[in-house]
Amino acid sequence: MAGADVFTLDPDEVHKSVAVLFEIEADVKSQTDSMVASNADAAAPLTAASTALGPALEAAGEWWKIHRAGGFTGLLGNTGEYLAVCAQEAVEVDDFNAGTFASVAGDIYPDRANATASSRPDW
Amino acid sequence: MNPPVEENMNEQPPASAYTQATAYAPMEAAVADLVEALPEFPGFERRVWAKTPCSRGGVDDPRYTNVEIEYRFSKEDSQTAKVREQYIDALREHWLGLGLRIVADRPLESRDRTDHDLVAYRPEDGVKLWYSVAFYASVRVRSGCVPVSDLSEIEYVPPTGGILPGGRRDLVSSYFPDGIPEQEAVNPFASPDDFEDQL
Amino acid sequence: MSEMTWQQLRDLDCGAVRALGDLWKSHVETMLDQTERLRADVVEGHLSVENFESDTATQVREHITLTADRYEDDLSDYATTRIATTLHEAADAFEAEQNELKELIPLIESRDFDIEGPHKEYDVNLSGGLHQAILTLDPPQWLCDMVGITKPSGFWDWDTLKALFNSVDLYGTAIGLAGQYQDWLRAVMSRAHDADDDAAAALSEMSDNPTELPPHLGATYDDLIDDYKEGVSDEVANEARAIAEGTSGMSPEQVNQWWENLSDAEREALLEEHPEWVGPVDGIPTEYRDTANRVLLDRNIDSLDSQIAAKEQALAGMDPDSDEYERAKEELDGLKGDRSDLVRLQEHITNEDGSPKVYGITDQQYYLLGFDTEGSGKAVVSIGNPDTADNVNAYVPGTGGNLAGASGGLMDRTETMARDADNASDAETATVLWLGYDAPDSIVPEAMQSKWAEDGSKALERFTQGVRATAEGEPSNLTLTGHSYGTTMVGTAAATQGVEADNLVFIGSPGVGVDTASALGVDESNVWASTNDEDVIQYGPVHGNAPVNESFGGNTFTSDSPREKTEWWKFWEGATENHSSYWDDGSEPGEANNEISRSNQAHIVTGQEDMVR
Repeated sequence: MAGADVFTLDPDEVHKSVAVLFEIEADVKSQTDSMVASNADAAAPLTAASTALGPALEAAGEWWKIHRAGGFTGLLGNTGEYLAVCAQEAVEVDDFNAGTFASVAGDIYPDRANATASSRPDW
Repeated sequence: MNPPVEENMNEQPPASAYTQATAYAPMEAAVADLVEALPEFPGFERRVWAKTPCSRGGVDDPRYTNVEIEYRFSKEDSQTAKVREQYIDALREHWLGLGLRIVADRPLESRDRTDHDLVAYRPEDGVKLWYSVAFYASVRVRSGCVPVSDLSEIEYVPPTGGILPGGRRDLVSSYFPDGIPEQEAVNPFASPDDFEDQL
Repeated sequence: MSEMTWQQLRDLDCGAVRALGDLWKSHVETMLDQTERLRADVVEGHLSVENFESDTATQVREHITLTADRYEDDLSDYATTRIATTLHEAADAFEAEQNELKELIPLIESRDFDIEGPHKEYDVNLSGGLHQAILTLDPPQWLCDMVGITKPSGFWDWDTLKALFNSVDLYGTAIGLAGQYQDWLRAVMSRAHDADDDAAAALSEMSDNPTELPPHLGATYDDLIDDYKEGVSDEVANEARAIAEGTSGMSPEQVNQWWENLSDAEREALLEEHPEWVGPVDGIPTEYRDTANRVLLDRNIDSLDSQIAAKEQALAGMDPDSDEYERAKEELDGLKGDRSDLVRLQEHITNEDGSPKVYGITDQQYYLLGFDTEGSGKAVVSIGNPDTADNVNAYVPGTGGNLAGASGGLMDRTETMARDADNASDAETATVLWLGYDAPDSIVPEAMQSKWAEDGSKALERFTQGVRATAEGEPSNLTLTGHSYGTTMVGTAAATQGVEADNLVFIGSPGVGVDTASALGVDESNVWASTNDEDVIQYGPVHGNAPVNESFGGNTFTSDSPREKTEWWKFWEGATENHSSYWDDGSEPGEANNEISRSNQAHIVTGQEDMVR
């Protein structure tokens, strides 16, 4: 399929979806940061007490933050950016990349485009 | 056969009067005798044939086993003064009269009830008779350690005390994989004319 | 590896650890609100099929759903089952050992003993001051009390003091007590370290083989998403395998949570396709394990049939005088022995039509929780379901315990215990034959060695944790009943790893690996030993202070003719009593040990300790 039929949509609804995705992304990030900080705080005295649990607990918190919660938020961000693009023009999933977001929707979400600019290889 | 226990206690198990197969009949007879001796006998709820291992130095010796026959009173009968007290006194006297040695005669008082273990030992064949009054009251007869017999050598002995032979309260079927042999209808309260051939 | 000192353990804030576990759980709830919002507001809301209909729209909705699914699985598997549960279990375990220290350290200090180490372990020794006091015949009051001398008041001359203390062994007594405290302290630290290491492993192994995340939208998404979905369908199998192989680091409680989180279809599929990952696993409910193990038992017998046939064929082609033939013949005999043991076990617990057999005396089904033909063999068989019973009694056999016994003498004993418990109470008791360790084959040399008990300790610990994890409703009254070397097995597991039992019963014990009941991690008033232990006389209390000795600090069953209690610190008394009995189990003439012991055991197992005499 190609063209406008790819993703018949109401831009308004898409923007709302994007907003929700970015909001959940941000909320989960900050709630996770807070949880993992508490985790590290509790792990510290355990490490000081020469337990095996202390270091393992801290590492587990970091792993959770970066790979699992981070994996989740990364997916949300990526999906949000894709939909942000689709609100402007129909783009198939296969044709989407980070650069697309910056060029098509960067004006609408300037903070986001700038914030992650350096991480886009094609920017 | 085996040398007597005093001479060779660390080498051979002491001689036993019975083998597993020959133990059942005299043990059952002891229970039948008890049923006879106890006044206004209410009947038993069930019979069980079982065995416990024989060990020495903490290691089980699979060539020997300790045969146990258990007859249990019903829960209702187990709670009566007759079964819990009267029968103890009656049995103590009866067993002493038969020349048995009483090796335990312990009442056990707790909040809710008084239990009792009355254990008698029969010197001539080593059989132990245990009248146990607890949550249930039961009669357990133990052979002492006897040489194990093949399942095929074990013969059926009809139960005493009101249990129907081969019925669902006669829990011995694992010893008779081909089924419990047909029994004639027996008056459960009848006993042999004498026990001469069984003692 | 845990390096915690006793002071560090003492000062650990277990409440904070527990609170962190609670915090993770509430964090999970908050996160679930977010995934709920993702589904409701996006997938079923702004991006719903009412608003958008196209292949791409479907794809994106599916993608978001997979994303939410994955995060929810992570929150359940990692954040809850692994992290939060580990924290709660660790807090409980550390706190239990802290409570032991609270009792023990003041005792050590009040006796003027010193704690030295840890080198590998702690030592508890007489302090210099105490040495001096004993040397100058001015022992502290507590020591006088122990040796039964009234402490002289005022000044006494040296000769009078010497005469007074002449007949007692002050050093021996003090050293004996220090030895007990040493056992106790070492046990506390061993259990605390073990809990610590287990907790660390549960967390670090979490990240060993993590599940995949869905791919990002973009190029090659179509291929990647197909791979992802395939991977998802393998996840349960991968987890089950790691758990069964012991590489997952999960405790039985965690395994149980993982199992409960599977769908019925996933459980059935595992049972169907991989019974070997279900049958032996502590933490999986009994009924599933029984079903799986019966299938495995059947398969094992079939496999042995094939191996036997192949071996016979091979033998036919060998020279009967050759070494090769000898070896092959031995192997064949071994295979036939294994087959016969397994078949007898199967026949004991299975009806002709293949349905599970019921133990007719107590009307309880047999459940097969595990078996193995390696070495002397292992078998774990329960009469009654431990998940639902009010009481659970696990009988741990001793020297000579083997797979053959599981349908022979060991099973006779187990069935007797089941019958006795049934006669003692209306409540239901599940009686388990636990031959889950490689029992020593011989008195000399094997039963003299502690390694069988050491090697089996983890398995016994996990068995007890499994009983707790799979219990439906209230936890059962759990008793471990050791017989002969089985007591060494139980004692060693309790002291070094910790067992989650309410009562420990030691019958015929040659020693339980520690010199005091206090080292067992169980309330001393729930530690019982029977005086019917000819074994002590037979080959001495090789594995420590005999638990029937008063100094051990547990309870004993009295028999009608109590034995002489001599000076307690003389661990090896020699045969001072004249026993004419050959058998250990009270089947001797003229004694009622067996009968009294059985009444007492049944009372303990059914929670009626006040009736023990």
